[in-house]
Amino acid sequence: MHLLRFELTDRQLKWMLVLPVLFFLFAMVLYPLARTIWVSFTHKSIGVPAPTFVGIRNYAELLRNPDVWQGFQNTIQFTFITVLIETLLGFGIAMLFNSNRVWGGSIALTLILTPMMLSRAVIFTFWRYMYNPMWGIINYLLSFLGVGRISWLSRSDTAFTATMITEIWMWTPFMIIICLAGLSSVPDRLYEAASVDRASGWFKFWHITLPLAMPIIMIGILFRLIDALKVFGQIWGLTGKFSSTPSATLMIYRKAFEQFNMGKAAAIAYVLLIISISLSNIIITRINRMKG
Amino acid sequence: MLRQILLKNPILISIVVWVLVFLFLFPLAWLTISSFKGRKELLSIEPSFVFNPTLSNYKKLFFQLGPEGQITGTTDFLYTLFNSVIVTVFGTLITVIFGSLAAYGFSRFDYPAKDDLLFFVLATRMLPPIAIILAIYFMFRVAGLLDTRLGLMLVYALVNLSFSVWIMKGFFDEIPEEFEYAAMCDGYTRLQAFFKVILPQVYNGIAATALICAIFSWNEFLAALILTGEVAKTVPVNLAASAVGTTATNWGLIAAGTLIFVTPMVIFTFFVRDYLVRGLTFGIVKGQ
Repeated sequence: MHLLRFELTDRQLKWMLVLPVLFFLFAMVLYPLARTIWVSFTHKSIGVPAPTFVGIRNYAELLRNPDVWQGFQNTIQFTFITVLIETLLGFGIAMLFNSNRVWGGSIALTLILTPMMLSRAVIFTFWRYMYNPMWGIINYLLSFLGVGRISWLSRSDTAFTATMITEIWMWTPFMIIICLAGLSSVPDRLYEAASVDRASGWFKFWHITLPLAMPIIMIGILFRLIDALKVFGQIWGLTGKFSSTPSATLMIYRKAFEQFNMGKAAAIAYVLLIISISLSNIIITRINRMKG
Repeated sequence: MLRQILLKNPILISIVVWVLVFLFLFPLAWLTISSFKGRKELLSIEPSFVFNPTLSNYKKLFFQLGPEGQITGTTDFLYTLFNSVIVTVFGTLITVIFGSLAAYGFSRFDYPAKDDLLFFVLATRMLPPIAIILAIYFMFRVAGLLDTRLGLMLVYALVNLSFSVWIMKGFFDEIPEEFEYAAMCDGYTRLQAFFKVILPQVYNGIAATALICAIFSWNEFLAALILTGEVAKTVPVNLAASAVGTTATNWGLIAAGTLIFVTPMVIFTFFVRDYLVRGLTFGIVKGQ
């Protein structure tokens, strides 16, 4: 029984526990990031075996390229509009659930969570069928509201709206459960105390509910923002890889794997990286300030 | 007064909530209906709610059919489904085994710059994946890992590790250290105490973490698209590629494939619902 028993000191053990993971993450994240930054300063022409160092030329050319600006604008617009609407809708629906007056509330909540656990690329592909102007169910249902036939995916502005609608459908559930967690973190005794003081419903909402639920909701918003900035499968699924409203990630994909311009692809990737990091930094600082 | 009625009336609130549930689930209901429709009904100008259900989409999804409808072989979809299962199961296993060990370490021991290390682990998930996958593409090309299931597993393990370390650290933090000390006084080594005393108490948490990791790997698209070709292709890549043009696309097949593909995740969601808030915020928000 005890033949195989070997003893490790805590000191040996503690490094054995975390080193595999740390080593793996360093190798698969830090090395690629370093490599990508190097590639972003190079240019490889077809027929030339080795890439040549070109300094910041890739970045300079990107800044002058209106398509790249458009791609970033699409991404940022998509991120802010969807997260804003998801938060408002999610908060409203969470208030309904939080009233504890819903019949079958926990079943309803479980059911409503389903969309966010599905594969974006796959489910957006199916939405492409629903958005079809001829046989799509969406135009059919809208026709009852007197809305004429819309060619959702053939024009870039409606295609962009369609992408945002589906994204909001998919991720509002996340904000619902986050807001619910925030709302239920408010201790009941505060409401009781406010009632004793005959505070109005609005007063309770603005001075108790909102400020106390906010830190958790902000964390939810942070996760949504970071996630929405990565938008890719949604656009690919709904409008394909030649989408007229590409996101930053789709632009990088095209530069790298359609035009084989790794230098430029890497440069755009780094700009996206910097936007992501600064955004997370701003919000993390805000969350910390709220807590402190 | 209106507010009173709206917020206090259980009937009204219930109706509103269930209408919302219906709206959120409608696309999935439509997906289910569509998967049982024939080509004519799928492309009818007025979408039909009453029709003769057919299983032909499912048959075509899994099997190649000869001219008289006889089965002549299996399809690409079945093969990519197999890939998805393999990559998800083994990617998740790697993640959970190494993730829980590291999480236990971070929960119980002190490390130099521990906070920075933990932040680094978290940050690996925050980065836009494309920035890393571009370089991994080259690494894999050199290492011969492009278009292999092993390569994709490693990438999914990479993405999920940060997540599982953070969540499971939270679970371990909730167990008082006295448990191990008691076990070690009884003659257990620390590792034995970990496996026999601590681990059984976090089984539920680990199972939930594993399911959430599995859901992520199962659904992932970008890495699968870039790093795989014909051999290791997964279902999302396969399905997204089948929607080409508008009339040439066989929507019945896509609907059937999508339904088969998402059903396991819907069931998983049901099991992990109590851990979802915690899981999706890396354990930062503890949830109910």
